[in-house]
Amino acid sequence: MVNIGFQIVHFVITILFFIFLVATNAVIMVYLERKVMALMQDRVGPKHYGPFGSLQSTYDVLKLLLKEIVRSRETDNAIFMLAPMIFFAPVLTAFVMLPFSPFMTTSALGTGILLYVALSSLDVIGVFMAGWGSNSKYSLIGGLRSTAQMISYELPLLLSLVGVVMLTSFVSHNGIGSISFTDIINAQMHPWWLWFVLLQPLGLIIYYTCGLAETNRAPFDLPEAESELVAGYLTEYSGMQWAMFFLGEYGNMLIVSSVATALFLGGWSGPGADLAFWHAHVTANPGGIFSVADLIFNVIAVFWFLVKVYALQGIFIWVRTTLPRLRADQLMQYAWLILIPMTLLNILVTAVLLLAVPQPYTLWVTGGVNFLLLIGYIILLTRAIGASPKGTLPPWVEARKRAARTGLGAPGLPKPPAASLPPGEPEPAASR
Amino acid sequence: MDLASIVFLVLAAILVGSALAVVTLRNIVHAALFLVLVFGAAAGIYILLNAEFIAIVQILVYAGAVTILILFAIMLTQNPNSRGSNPMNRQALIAAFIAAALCAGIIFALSQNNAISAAASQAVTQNAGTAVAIGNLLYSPTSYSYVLPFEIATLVLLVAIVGAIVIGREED
Repeated sequence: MVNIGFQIVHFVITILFFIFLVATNAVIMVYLERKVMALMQDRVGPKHYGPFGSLQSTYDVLKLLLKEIVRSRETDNAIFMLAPMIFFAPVLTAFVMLPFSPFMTTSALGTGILLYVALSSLDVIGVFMAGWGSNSKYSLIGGLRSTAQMISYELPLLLSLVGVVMLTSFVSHNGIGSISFTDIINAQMHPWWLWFVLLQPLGLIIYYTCGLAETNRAPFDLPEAESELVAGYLTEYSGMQWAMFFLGEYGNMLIVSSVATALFLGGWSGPGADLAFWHAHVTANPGGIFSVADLIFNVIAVFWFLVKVYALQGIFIWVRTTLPRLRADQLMQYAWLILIPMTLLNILVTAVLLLAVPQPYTLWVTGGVNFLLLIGYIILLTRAIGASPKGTLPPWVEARKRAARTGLGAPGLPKPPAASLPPGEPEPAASR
Repeated sequence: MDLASIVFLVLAAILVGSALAVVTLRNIVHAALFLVLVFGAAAGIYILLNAEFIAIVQILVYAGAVTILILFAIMLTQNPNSRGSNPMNRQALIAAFIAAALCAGIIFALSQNNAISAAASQAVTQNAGTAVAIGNLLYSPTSYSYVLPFEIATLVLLVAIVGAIVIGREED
C-alpha cells in the first residue's frame, strides 16, 4: 500500500513539472525557432542579449508582461477577456494523460487518446471566442478560417490513430487493445523496442500533418496570414493576453509532439530505459519509497522522451521554413480528398492484414505494406501538388459561372450579370 | 458530507445556473457558450459516477462538436448586432409548466422505489464505465454483445451522412 503523503508529493511534483515544461518550452521554442530559421535562411538571427542571443526571448517575455492590454471599443467584453484562458486551459489539461516516464505521470488514465481528441476540440471554442469577441472584421474572418480548419483536421487526426490502437490489440496477450497512453507505450516495449513508427509510418506522417494544421502552424497558418488578415483572430490582442495565445500554441506543439512520441516513437523507451528493468525493480521493492535507482531511471526516461519531443518540434520549424502556405480551398481539399480517404484505407488494410496474415509474419507484412502505402501517399501528394493549375479557376469563379449557366444563383452570392465574368474580378467582400 | 457530494453540489449548481443562462440570455452567442458549460458540468457528473468513457465522449461530441457547429453557423449568419438575437420564447409559461411536471415525475419515480436506484448505483460502480467494458459489450465476438444493432446504427448514420452530402452539394 502506497502511503498517501507519497502520493500527494508525487502529484505536486508532476503538476509543477508540466506547468514549468509548458512555460519554458514556449521560451525555448521561440528562441530556437528564430535561430534555426535564421540558420536555414542564411541570416544571423537574435544576437545581442546573452551568448548567441539566448536571452532574447527572456527579454521578450519581460516586455510582454509589462505591456498594456489594449482593448478596442465595443468589444464583447466577457468573451474577449476569457478567450485566451479558454484557449490555454485545455492545453495544460491535456498533459494529465501523458506519461513522460513511469513516475512522471499524474494518472494511468484508461481513455487517453479520446481525452486528447476531446481537449483539442475544446481549443476551437477559444479561437471562436477570440474571433467573435474582438468585434473586428479581420478577427472574425481569421477566427472563421481557424475554426473550419481545426474542425476539418480533427477527423483525419483521430482516424490516423486507429491503426495504433489496432496494433496494441494484436500485441497484447488477451487480444484486447488499449487507448491509454501508458499501455500503448508499454506495448511498444513488449518484445523489444517495437516502435509503432516501424509498423505505421503512414499513420505518423498523417498524424503529424494534422497536428501541424491543429496548431495553426505553417504551411497551414493561413488563419494568421499576415498579408491578408493582419493576424487573424489575434489582431486585437496585446500584452499578456496575446502571450497567452502563443503560450497555448507552443503548448499545443508540445502536446502534438508528445502524443506522436508516445504513440509512434516508443514514448520514454531508449538506451537505459527499459520496461522489463522497471517491472523487475518495482516488483523487487513495492513499498513506493523513492530510491536513488528510481530517480536515475526516471531521469533517463524523461530525457529520452524530451529528446524525441524536441526532434519532432525541430521538424515543425523545418517545415515552416520549407513549405509555402496553402490557399483556403486547397487546405480543405487536402483534408477531405486526400487525408481522410488515406486514413480510411490505412485502417482497412491494417485490419485485414492483422487478421489474415499467419502469425510469425503478421507484423512484418503489416509494416511492409504500410511502407508501400506511405510511398503511394507521397506519390499521390507530389502529383496533387505538381498538377498544372492551367484551366482551373478559383472556386468562387466556378460557382458564378455555374450560376450563370444554370440561372439558379449560387447560395450566398449575388445573382451574376448575364455576360461572362472577367477572370480578374475581385472576390465579393465578406460581410458580417 | 464527503468530498464527492460537495463536488456534486458544485457541479449541479454550475449546470443548473448555466442551463438557465442558456434559456434566458438575450445574446445567442453567450447562450451557445453557456451550453458548452452545461455539457462540461454534465461530463463532470458522469466522472463522479465512475463513467469516465461517457464523460469524455460527452465532451468530445457535445461540447467539442455540437456546440462548435452551432457557433460556426452563428458566425456565418449576417447579423450586424448580436444583442437580442436569442428569440424570446413566447411559450415560456407552458414550457415552465411542462418542465416542472417532468421534474415532479422523475422525483416521484425515484422516491417510489429505492431498490431501483440502489441497483442502478451498484451497476454503475461495477466498472461499467471503462472503455474496455463498453468495447466488450459493443463488439465482442465471443461473449454476448450488441454487434448487430451497433452495425445497423452505423449503417443508418452512413446513409444520413451521404444524404446530407447529396443535399448540401451544389449541382452542376
